Amino acid sequence: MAKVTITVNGEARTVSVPPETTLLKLLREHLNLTGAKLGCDVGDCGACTVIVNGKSVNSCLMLASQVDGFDVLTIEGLATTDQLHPLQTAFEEKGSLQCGFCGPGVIMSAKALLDEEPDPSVERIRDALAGNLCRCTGYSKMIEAVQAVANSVNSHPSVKSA
Amino acid sequence: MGQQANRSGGSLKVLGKRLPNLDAVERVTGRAKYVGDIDIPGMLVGRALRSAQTHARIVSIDTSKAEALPGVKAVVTYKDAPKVALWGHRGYVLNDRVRFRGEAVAGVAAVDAETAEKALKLIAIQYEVLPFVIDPEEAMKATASKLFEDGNQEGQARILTRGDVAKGFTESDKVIERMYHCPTMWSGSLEPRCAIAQWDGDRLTLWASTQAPGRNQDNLCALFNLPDANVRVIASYVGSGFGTKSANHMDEGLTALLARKARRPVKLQYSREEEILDSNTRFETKFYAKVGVKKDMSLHSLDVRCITNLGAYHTRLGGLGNHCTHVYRIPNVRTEQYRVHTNIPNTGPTRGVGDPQECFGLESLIDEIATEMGWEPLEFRLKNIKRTGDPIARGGAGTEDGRLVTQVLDKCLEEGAARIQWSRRNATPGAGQTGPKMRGIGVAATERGGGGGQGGTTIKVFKDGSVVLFFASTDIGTGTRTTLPMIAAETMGVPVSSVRAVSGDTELAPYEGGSFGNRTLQGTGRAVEAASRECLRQILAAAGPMLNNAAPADLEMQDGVIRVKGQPDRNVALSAVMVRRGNIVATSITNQPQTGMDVERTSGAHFAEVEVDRETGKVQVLKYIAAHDLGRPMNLTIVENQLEGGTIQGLALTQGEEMRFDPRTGACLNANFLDLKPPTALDFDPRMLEAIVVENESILGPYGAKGLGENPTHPGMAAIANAIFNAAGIRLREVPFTRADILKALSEQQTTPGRTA
Amino acid sequence: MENFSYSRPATLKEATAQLGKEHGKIAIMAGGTDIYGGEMKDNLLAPERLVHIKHLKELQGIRQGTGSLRIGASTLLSDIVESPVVQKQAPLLAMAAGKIGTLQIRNMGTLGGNLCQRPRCWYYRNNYPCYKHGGNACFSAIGENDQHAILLGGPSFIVHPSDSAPALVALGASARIVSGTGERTVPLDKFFVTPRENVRRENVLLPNEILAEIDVPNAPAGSKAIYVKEMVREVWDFALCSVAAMVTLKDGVVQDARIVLGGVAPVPYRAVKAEAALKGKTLDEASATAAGLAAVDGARPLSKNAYKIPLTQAVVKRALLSLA
Repeated sequence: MAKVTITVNGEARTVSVPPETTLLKLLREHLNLTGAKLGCDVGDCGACTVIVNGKSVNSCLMLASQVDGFDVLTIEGLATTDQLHPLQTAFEEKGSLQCGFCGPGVIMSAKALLDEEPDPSVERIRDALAGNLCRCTGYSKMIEAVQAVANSVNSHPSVKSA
Repeated sequence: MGQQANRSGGSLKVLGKRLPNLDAVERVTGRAKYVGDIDIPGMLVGRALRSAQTHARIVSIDTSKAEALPGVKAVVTYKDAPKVALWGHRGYVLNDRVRFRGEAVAGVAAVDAETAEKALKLIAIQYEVLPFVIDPEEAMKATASKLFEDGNQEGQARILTRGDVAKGFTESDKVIERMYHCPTMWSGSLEPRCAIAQWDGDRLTLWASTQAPGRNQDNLCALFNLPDANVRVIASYVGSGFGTKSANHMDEGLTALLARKARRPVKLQYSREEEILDSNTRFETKFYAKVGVKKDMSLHSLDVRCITNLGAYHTRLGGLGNHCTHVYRIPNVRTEQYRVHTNIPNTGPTRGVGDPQECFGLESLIDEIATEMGWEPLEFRLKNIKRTGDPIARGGAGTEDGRLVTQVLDKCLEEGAARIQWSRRNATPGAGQTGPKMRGIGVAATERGGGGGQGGTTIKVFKDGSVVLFFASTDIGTGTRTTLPMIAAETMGVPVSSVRAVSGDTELAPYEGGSFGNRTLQGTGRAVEAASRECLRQILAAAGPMLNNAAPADLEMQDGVIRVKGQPDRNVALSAVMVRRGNIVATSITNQPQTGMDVERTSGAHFAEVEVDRETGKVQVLKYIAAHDLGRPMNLTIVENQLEGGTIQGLALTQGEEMRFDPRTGACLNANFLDLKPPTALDFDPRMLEAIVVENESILGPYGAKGLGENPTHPGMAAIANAIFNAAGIRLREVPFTRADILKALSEQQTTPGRTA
Repeated sequence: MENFSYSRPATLKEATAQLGKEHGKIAIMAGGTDIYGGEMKDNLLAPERLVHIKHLKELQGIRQGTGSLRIGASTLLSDIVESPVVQKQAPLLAMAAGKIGTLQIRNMGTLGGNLCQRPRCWYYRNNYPCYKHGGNACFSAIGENDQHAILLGGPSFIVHPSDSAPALVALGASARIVSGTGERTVPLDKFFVTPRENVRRENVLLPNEILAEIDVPNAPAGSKAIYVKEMVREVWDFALCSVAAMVTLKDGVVQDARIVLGGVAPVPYRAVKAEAALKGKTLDEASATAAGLAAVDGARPLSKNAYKIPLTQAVVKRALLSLA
């Protein structure tokens, strides 16, 4: 068994798991954070995307033991009890999701982008979302939503996208 | 009753607007629970053992070691499987014969995944290997290895005729013959199938990633010989289906079988590979077509022989749609359809079913004959398409015994053509070349029916005026949990925010098969409208005494306030009425409305501008217009989502998603996303895609709505093929359009100058 | 997947001490995107033990060498893409690394992993008993070979899937390899092996060796470079063919050219005839076309991959012209 301590959504958690446990399985089955999804389990779809130490990764490809001591942000960590994250609000208002299964992964990729580039071009947004497959939407309303957040941050520079 | 009131004047308050999905918050926060996210206390892990044989008889199967493994609670094989066929399927939940590589031959339920995996390896099977066949035309031969005792052909050839095609060809001024091929393709969902089964005595609850809880319920009842009241199927959030989850499937039966034997709940989660190999694939079609035209630009005779590859077990679908008989006015038509079993994974309903394949064949053929005759392809189509008032078949036969109504395919073509600026098209193919890049524009038309079947809903108005709407079909991303409440809100006159939909639970709502075939908005929507009217009737009857006994006919409700018409000061809040009345429940069950002579269809036209690179064989889509008739749009955001998403899914078939089989072993070589290559955000630039909603109103659907979900996937392959021809003068008759295909066609063009096919 | 134990050695020396004599029994893992996410999950590989090396300090970092950059094998691909010194001193590498996979994969995958990844051939990945699995056949030779090699193929016809490899070969990089008994440095164009040299493996690493560092000579002063990758999808795909091209021009005349192809051979393919065709010539349509032709000289198509020949020709020509 491997003992792993990670900070998930700001909270330190320690779990004891078999060494071949992926970060995805750890999140879903040991911490009950089911937002990240099992779409393929081999890093081919992006539905499991979370942010580890500030970078978007496929949690199905990371072993839990590789993230010991790391900082992990999942979709559950975006909204506060009172408020949705601006990305979530924008995705809701623009109608960016249909079945929603790819949603958490896409939103985390978008978050990782905006944290690094608050004012990305459409090309950069498409690049950032390129590692998240969606079967329903054709991606256009997702791109619109990310643009809307970028624009609103720009017109209100005091609003952080954290 | 509803139809006249739809158009009785007064603007719509809710419908036709943009509204975020009512359940969007659950999805964007990750709180939405898909079946894979659900845990039941005591739940076991289920797994299927999948055969590495392509075609074999099981001589013996020994599960004793697996059963003896600590932590294993149940093992099942064909011996445990009920001898009841899955609906629309030739097989049982588990069979004593393997008919495609990857077919499940046993199931295991264990305390955890690791134990289940170990148990699978302990199951020993002896096979008698049989010869296999994967090509449908080979499978039709008398010498082919037989999957079933009665051979490989499913049923009789389906023949549809009108007029006399042979005579028609002799009367034609020009006749051409072509064959178009769509291979087996993957058209599935991002969420792999998942089911949880829980027994309580002889009552079964099944949570499933399904579009069709009603159908699942039917089949489980049949499998386990249970009354309907004993089986409850629940679909909560479903990670898309596109038809692949629209009928019962072996995994639901397997999960229930394991749960019953283990006496504990079982969750069976498919892997991605299982989802590709054992859900439904899009069936292969070989479309042999012969068309004859007259010099006056009329279509005169069409003869199509279509062979579809059903895969191992699927029986229900796999034929042509109605393009050949419904899109154009053709006096002589004959279609002959052969549906053939082979040893490849099951085909089944996938978005559009056979319509994308049929559209590819027919719309390419239409362009080809136009080219032969020197006719402009848009003009040729406009001359020959059916229009409102034209005869059209009511049923599935060739005889045109009905009358087409509310048809606006002409407008779809005209508006789409205007938007893409059709006049920019090359007068001669290949004329728009600059250096190695060649640009061209193509068109494809399509149609479909929909909105049929039984639809039902129960609407409950609580004693505080809030409303819950129950329907047994699903929201697989199509937004029905938003549009149906919008219909209820519009009809009753309450705020949308006060209406909530509960979907996908067979126990809570009247029976419906499920969500598929363009049906939910129109079919269930009608029921919602009717039930809403009934609720409103009861509300107004209860409000009257509170408004000086005003007659219900003098009352109306708006935004949850009941007013006397023309006297807005005489009003009472819905909540005040309901507190006195107690709650109101109304149920409506409707059925397929297309009786009588009028036939309503949904149509669309796509226009593509492509750039073909002569040196690399790459095809880039520069501009794409999807013009669709969907009756009155209920929610513009949802409509756009369906048009955009569906169009991209259709375009995906031009770029990848072909399933490749090893002819030596029958194995699928590319059951993974990396090799199937579904489009990413970088593949089809969303900025080049424009959706046009052509103005129209249905006479059948609630508030004039028609169903939409499938149509946008139909025309992509044909539109691109026709655009490639206009760009480069090469005709591709097989999808996907690979670099190899294009470079080969271009080089053949070089070696035979003047050849344009 | 079978059970395995794992270890997290504190130093490179500890790591090498844990390696064995047989490929596949003890496997090393850095990012894990292929060894774990691919090979183990597909049951191609069932090591008894997985030795983690991503965290090893000796394998991290981008340091200045002598007229070169020394990049630790466990450096993240995304760090290479974004590194200002790589962008300045070896831009071809940054460009090529940027074409690997997706952002998520680059955030996890390492340079060493990208160089050492196994082939993508679907017969290999579906566990057919082919040469690469110790068997006696190549199923692509007379099978579904649209993705396979047109150059240097046989007896196996895999193509090398790495994007960083062609760029690094063009840059003249070398590999520092460490084992329990010592270390050796191998020029990268000798690091990769053709099937004729070793049908079972794609590089010279022995079971007890770890690829520790890549030494990347700075791009020649005044040189220009480009990495072009043709795929079926726009992204997240392995190359149908790719070209790492680097030229040094003086008054438009080619002083030096490096042209290395990916996706067309079992190793990164140095198109020496194309380079020779360019040297001393003005870089223009005619010379670029001639170079394209020369690059595919000797190409032998299989039944379904002939398209790679005109495709590669065109891509070489255009890559060169973009540098003119």
